[in-house]
This record gives sequence, structure tokens and C-alpha cells, in this order.
Amino acid sequence: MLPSYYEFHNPVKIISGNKALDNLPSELEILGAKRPMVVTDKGVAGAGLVKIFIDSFGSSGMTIGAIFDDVPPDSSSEVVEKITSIFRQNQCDSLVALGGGSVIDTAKGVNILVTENSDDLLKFSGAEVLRKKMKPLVVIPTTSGTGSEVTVVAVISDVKRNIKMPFASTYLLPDIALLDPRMTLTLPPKMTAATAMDAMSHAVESYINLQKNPMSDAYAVAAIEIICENVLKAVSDGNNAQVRLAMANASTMAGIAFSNSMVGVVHALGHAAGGICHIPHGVAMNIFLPFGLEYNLPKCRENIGKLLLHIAGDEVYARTPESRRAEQTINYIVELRKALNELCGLPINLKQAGVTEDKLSEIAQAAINDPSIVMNPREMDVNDALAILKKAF
Amino acid sequence: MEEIKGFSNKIIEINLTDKSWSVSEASIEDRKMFLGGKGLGMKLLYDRLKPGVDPLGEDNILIIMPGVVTGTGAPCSGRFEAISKSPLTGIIATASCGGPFGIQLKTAGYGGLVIRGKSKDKCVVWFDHNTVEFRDATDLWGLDTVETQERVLNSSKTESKKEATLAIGPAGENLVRFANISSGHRFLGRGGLGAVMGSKNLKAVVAKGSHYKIVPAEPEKFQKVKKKATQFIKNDAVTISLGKFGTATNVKFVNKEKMLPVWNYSFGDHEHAFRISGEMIKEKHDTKVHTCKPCSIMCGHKGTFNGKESPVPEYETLTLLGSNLGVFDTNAISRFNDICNKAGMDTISAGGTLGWVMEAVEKGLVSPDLFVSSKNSKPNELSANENSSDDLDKTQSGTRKYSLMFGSINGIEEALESIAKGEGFGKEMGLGSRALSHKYGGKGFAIQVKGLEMAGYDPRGSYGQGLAYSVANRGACHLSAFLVSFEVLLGLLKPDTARSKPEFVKFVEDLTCSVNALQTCQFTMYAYTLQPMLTKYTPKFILKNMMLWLPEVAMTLFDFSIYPDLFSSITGIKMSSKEFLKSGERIHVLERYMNTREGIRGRDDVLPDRMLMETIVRDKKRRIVPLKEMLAKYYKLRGYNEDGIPIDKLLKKLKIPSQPSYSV
Repeated sequence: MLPSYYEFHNPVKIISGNKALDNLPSELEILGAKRPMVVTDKGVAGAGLVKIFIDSFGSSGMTIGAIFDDVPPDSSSEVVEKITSIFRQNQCDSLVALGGGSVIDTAKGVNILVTENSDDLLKFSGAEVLRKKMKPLVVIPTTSGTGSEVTVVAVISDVKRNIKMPFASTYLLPDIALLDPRMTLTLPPKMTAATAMDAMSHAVESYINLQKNPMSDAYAVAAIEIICENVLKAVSDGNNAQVRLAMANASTMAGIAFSNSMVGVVHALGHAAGGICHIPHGVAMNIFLPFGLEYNLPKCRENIGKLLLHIAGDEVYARTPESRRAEQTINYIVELRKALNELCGLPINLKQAGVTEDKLSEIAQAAINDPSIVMNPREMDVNDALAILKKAF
Repeated sequence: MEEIKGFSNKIIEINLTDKSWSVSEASIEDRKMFLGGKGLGMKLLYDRLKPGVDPLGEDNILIIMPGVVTGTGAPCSGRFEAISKSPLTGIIATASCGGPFGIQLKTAGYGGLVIRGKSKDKCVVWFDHNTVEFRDATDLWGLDTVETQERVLNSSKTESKKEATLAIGPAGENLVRFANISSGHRFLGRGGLGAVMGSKNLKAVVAKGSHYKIVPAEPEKFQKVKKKATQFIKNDAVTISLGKFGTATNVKFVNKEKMLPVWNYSFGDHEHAFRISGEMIKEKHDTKVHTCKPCSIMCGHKGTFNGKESPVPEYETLTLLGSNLGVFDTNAISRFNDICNKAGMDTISAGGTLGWVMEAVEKGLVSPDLFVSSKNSKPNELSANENSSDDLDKTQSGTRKYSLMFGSINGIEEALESIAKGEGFGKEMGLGSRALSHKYGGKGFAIQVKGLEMAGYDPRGSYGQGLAYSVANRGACHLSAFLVSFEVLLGLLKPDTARSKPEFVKFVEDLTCSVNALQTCQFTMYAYTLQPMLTKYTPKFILKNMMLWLPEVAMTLFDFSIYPDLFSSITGIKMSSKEFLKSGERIHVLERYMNTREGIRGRDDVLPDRMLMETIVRDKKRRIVPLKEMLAKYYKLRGYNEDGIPIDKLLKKLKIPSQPSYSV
């Protein structure tokens, strides 16, 4: 059903292809950039991706202003400040984020400080605080999951104050998302699986929650189809560039979807479990996704049932009686998780992920206070959350 | 220890009605013509069983036969055969098993066991070389196959080694039409022979053997043949793969060729197929050898499933109770396998029947409300939702509704248990897919032939297998002529053509019958026919072309002389390859003839509509089995008339008496 009112926004230019990276210098030029600063991490550098990146500049004449390759797995205000200072010292005029969620969020943080000419990130934390158009930002994701290359948000922790600062603003949207399979070929199977299930949970939650709209739906279902068709191949044959590119596309599409429709209980539980027990986000998404759907079933059976077409294909959809489609959707996800677990050991319950039972109450409490819960189709109280956690244990 | 040179023609005949027993003698002529095992057993049944008897009535007869190879120490010589009339199909059923009973039967001095009549009370038959005891089985009734065997075996360890059992579980007792008979951890799987035992109130048979030693008539020749046979087995790639990964080694190529039964044979492949492959199972479940004894191929394995040691489900179980139901979770399939094994049920027919039920629910032919199980059943894997039909229904005396849906493991354990117990709709499911489709409709997707559910190879990818399924004597059985091996596994015979299939189906049927009459494992057929020099060194492209265009000539390139050599070195009876193959033909035709006396005609040599009219989903070649054109030629080659009945001339040629003697 068409919502009576909705907004959808995605101005990010997507460049996708086997050698998409080669377009980077000319794209930067179009954006008016002359001295980009590159933000990346040791993992990316160690995998030789920075070299591919530098090679792409070739004889373009573009100068790389600076490279910072030490972003930690959790982006922090300290690192953002450090990079900001390097950016300024080297008179850079734009940013290129080469990495996963943490690198991209860090680059977004740096962009806030250099644009606002400030050294205090906290001032800009919150929703729609930012008011200025930012420096050019090109994002080259090296995982296929977070969707940060197309989202309006960033999360950066303030270590001194021990808080996580959320930022949400359309100004945070990168200018370009560059999807090149060479950037994800070396992603290990377990990471590939975890990030894919992160993307899957973005798309699925986007499709069933209260802020869904026809635009986000289109992106969500397209992402789901590509993920379901490619995820097992990506995990078992990581060197297949076509499959990697497909997964990168799916992740970006899922990002566009949830960035416009928001997520739900799966993310709420995942954020809480991540915060308290440090479970990687993708792992948490994989664990909670079917349980979250099952919890939401009474409120959105039809929407979950419709997903079957995109998850399992037209033959299975047509054959499954309407009354059982939602269950079959959940069942497909359950079996997909098992397959991934068998292929690469991706945990399918909290115990396997190292969570101890005594933490469940604390996670439940944190989950019901997580902002992701707002757009979930079914209200969740602490007992509901605890019941889901016990099942997922 | 006394010796039996080669074989014994003494048949122990037990009548359960009056608890009497006697020993008869099979003729040497029958031994030569029917070899033993399935063959001689078929002849014994022909001479004893009148057509038209109720398979579950007093007049049905169950025959258990070792072969001349059984117990000799030749490779894969632990096998024996059962022959009876099937309560599932209403025609002759045969089953082969690698359990310990065959060797004990033979070393008790017998070349066969005939069980007839019906016991008034629940009983166990115990026998050794010179006595028979009829023991009370009241306390055993209701026990599963494992407990039953433990209880009936002698408690003394030394003595128990000399004893072996045939036992049924609750499924046999409750006359599930596809109940099987266990012997050790192996089974006489197909055709519902467990229900035949159950109908006779016979819970178990114990043979105490080890009284005689089986020695070959020509020891030197036997040792030479045995050595050669062992070498062939060691060198053959297909056989090695079976030893390494078990029968699940077939999953990969079957999936690749779109022949994997998925969702009741609607799809031919699945992206999760790797989860049930032999390679994955070996890696994930830490498998070890767990075979028939003695065995040189080692295809049977056990491994760790659900935290405990269990047999690795065979290919057929992985497909029929797995992929065919959309299930690829090996731990779950192992649980289904355990339920069937303990209850004593054929996993192929159980899976084929559940496949039909799931589709019938989809199509609205069967109401999901029928699925109610006893209160002991477990909650589902995911069962939180309010609207689910899976919730415990406390108002109805603690029963619980369960659901059956392709792709979901939920409900399958409950369904299998309700079949074994004969509870509620389980009782109807226990009649098999043919009976269900007659009652509820949906014959076109009842994947069975002559009442026997099809094995796990979709014939649309292997036309010869399609013909073989349609004409196999016991129903849609892959072991009558496993054409998949030539057509797909070995790539010797173009699979999607009718050409030369009738010839090869007949050839393989005849050879298989002889192998099952020896009796040794059918899996020796790869090594014994492919490793001899003539076959091995004929260039593949020549062999392929000859098989396609000159099938009769190509057949002469398959040197299977090791089988008649085994027979003659053990028995001292001369046997050429030609005679050996002719024995197979005789056995096959006799079985067909017996079936025609039960009413089988050409109209019964069919395939499910799905294989004849629907293509496999996403099969670009859009294949359907061209059965009609193959069938006409097959009848002609066989010497059947147009209605599929063996003509008198054929019976005379094969020296099959058109009227049995009924002398016994």
C-alpha cells in the first residue's frame, strides 16, 4: 500500500564495474578536487588494495594529498582529529574513504571537522545538526555489507567521554560510491558471509518496517535477490569477480533502502549485543534476522510473505500457499544461515558468538532503548526482547 | 568345525501356523539355473506361492537366501537376499542386505530359509544347525530394531558372535507398508518385508551359525579370482570414491546434471546440495568406516551427528528424506534416518511419501489439520509466532499439531513417528504414496511405479534410468538396472536419447540379477566390469560410440568373467559368462512372469506423469522421458508380448516351467 507521505533521497553517484576504480581521478576532477586525502586501514593496506588504488591514479596528474592507513576497527574521535590535522597540514581538499564501515564513518567525521573548521565533533552530533555542504567525499567499500557509502549516518565513539556519537545528515552522504570487485576479492569467507548478512538484514528490515516506501522497497528487493543468488558463491569462491561485484551492488542497494526507511528489532538487538558483548555487527545480524522476522510475523505477515518471491524465486513463491509464504521466507533465511555456518563457521546463535547467558538481560534492556526500534512494525518490551534473546542463545 | 564345500542346498522351512519345521533340498539343476540368492529364492517362491494371496495374510511366504559367495571370504561376501510378496506393491519384492544374518544362516548349514504361515502369538524363531525354537515375543513387541536385536541375541559374548538376527521395529508390527527388516545395522530395505514379518506376528529370527566352515570347491582357483577381484576394487576410481565418501559421493554429479530430487522431483538441483554431499559430510561429521562385513569397498560410514555417533545417511536417505523435502540439514536428516532405522522403515518410501504429502498440502488435496502427533513431540526450531499452527494444543488431550512444508525440517520427525506408530494420518501415510494418491487425488505427482516410491535419481536426466524404473520388477527401483552409471557417472552413454537404452537396460538387468544371485554387492559391478583389460583399455570414445550405435557389440567389451569364475571356483560347477548372464535373464523373466500372474501388464510399466509430461524447473534442455519408444523395443528384446507378458517361447528358452510345481 502506498504511504500517504514519504521521503526518499539518494544523490550518491554509483559507479560499478570490474575496473571502476580507474575512473576515480576523473571523477574527483569533476568534483573539483585536486588534492584528495585517502583514509584507509591496515587490513586494506596489507591486502595490497592501496597499491591498486594508487595505480589507478597513473598518469592522471592528480596528486594524492595524504594517505592515512591506520583507522582502527571502531572509529573514534581521536583518530578523526588526527586525520583532520593531517588533512589540514597537507592542504587536502577532498576525501577518499577506502575500507569498511569504520573507515567510511571516520572519513565522514573528518569531513565534518574540515568543513566546519572545528575540532569538536560532539558539537555536530545528532540528527540534522549539520548545515553546510561538505568537501567532496568518494567512498570505495572494501566489504559488502554496511552500506555506509550511501547512508546519511555515521557513528563515532568518543573514547574520553565513553559515548557513541551518532551523526545523521543528508550532508554526510558521499558524492560517489565506487564499486570495484578488486576491492573485495580478498575478503575472507567468514567476513564475506557476515557482511552479506548485514546487507541482507538491511534490505529485509527495510522492507517490513513502518517507514517502508515504494522506492526503498525497490532497492530492498533487488538487493535481496542479488544476495540470495550470490552469497553462497561469494563465500565458497571468493575469487569470482562477477559474484563480488554483485554483492557490492546488493550491499549498496540495501544501504540505500534502509537509509530511507530505517531498520528494526534485528538491528536494535544487534546494536545492543554488539555494544555489550562486542559481537561483530554482521554476525549479530545473522543471528537475529530470523528471530526478528518471527517476532514481527503477527504484524507484517503479508510483507514477509512477499519477500519469498525475491528470496526463493518465482517457482517456489508460486507453489507455496499464501498462508505459508511468510513461514517459508523465514525458513529460507534459517537454512541460508545454516549453509553459511557449514561453509565458513559463521555463528548462528549467541552461544557460538561467545555471549554468556548472564548478559541477556542487559542486552534486552539496551535493545529496547536503541533508536532502531522506533520504526519496527511490532512494539517490543524488555520481556519480548529477552524471549528473542533466549531463543537466539 | 565341519565344512560345507561351496554351498548347501538344504532349505530350512518353518511354518509359524503350527510351529513346525522341516528341511527340504533344492535341486542341483535349480542351483545351476538360478545360482542362489535372489535367483534360487525366486524359484523357491515360485514353487510355493500361489498368485493372488494377501501379502499380509497367512499364505504369504518370506524367503531368506544367502548365495554361493556368502561367507566365503571373497570381497563383499556378507550379503543375503529376501524374497516375498510385497504389501506395498502387491507384487514380488526382493531386497538385499549386508547384515550378519546371511553368513550365520549359511554356516548353520542352510542354503535358504522359508517362513510361512502365521503365528497365533507374537514370537521369535531361533534356530541352529539342527534345532528350531519358537520363543515368546510378547515382551519384545513395541521395541525398536536396535533394542530388539540386543534382547534376542545370546547374552554370552562368545555365543552372540555366532548368532545373527532379522528383526522388525514398530513399523513392521504396525504393518506400515514400507516397513523393513533389520540385520545388525543393515536393512532389507524395500517393499515392506517388515510388514510381512509383522503380519505373521514374527518379531525376530535368530540364526545361530558358525557350525560349518564354508570352503570353496576349487581353493586355488578361488584364491586367484579373489586376489584379482580385490585388486580390481583397489584400482577402480568410482569404487575408491564410494569408499572415501560413501554413497553420498553421488550428490555432486547428480546435482550438476539436474537429477537431484528436490521438492518432490520438481527441481533437479539446489544451491544447498553441497551440504549433503559426501565431501561436506566427511569434513563436517568426522566420518569413519562402518560397513557390511566382510567388505572391500567400504561405502558404509558412521560419523558424529547431533553430538553422537550415528550411521551416515546413505545417498538415498539424503535425497529422499533430504533434498526431496527441501531439507539439506545433515543433522536433521540423521535424526530422520535414526527414526526410520529404529522403527524399521524404508527411508526411500518414507521420503517419497512425505514428498507427496507436502505437495498435496500445497495443492489443497490434503488438509494440514490432519497432522497431529502425540504429546511427546518436540517444539519446532522456530515457533514463536502467535498465528503459527505449530503451537501446543493443550485442549485436545496433550496432542500437538505439526506442519509439513517443503524446505522446513519442522514436522518431519513427528510425521515419521506417526507413520511408524500408525497414529492418526500416519496410518494412511504408512500405506505409501500410491494409496494416498488413489484416495486424495494427485496421482501425477505420486512419484512411484507399481506402488514403490522412486529412488533418488530423476530419470529426466537419464532416459535409460527412466526405462529401468518403469520395467523394474519391484517398482521404481534404481538397483534393477542402474543406468545412471553408464549415462551420467561414467559418461559412456548419451543420457538424453532413447537410442540403445532398451538394449542396455536388459543387459544390466540380467547382469544385476546374476550378481544378486551369487550373492555379492552390486557395487562390485564398477570394478569387476571396468577394470578388466578389455574394458579398461578400449578407448573411451570408441566404447562410447559403440555403446550408442552398436550396443550388442559394445556389450561384448564388458568383461564380467570374474563373477562366473567366483561361482565356479566356489561350487565346482562350470559356468561361462554367457551362462551366467543367461541365469540373470532367467531370474529376471521368472520374476516378471510371477508379477504378470499377479496382474501386472504393460499398463503398469509407466513413470509418474511428472517425468513424462513436465520438465524439470529451469532445465534448459526441457527433457521428458521418451518412455513409449523405449518400451516397445524393450519388450521385443525381452521376448514379451505387446502387453508386457513373457511369451511361452521365452519361458521355454529359459527353461522356466510355465506352471510351478507347488510340490512343497
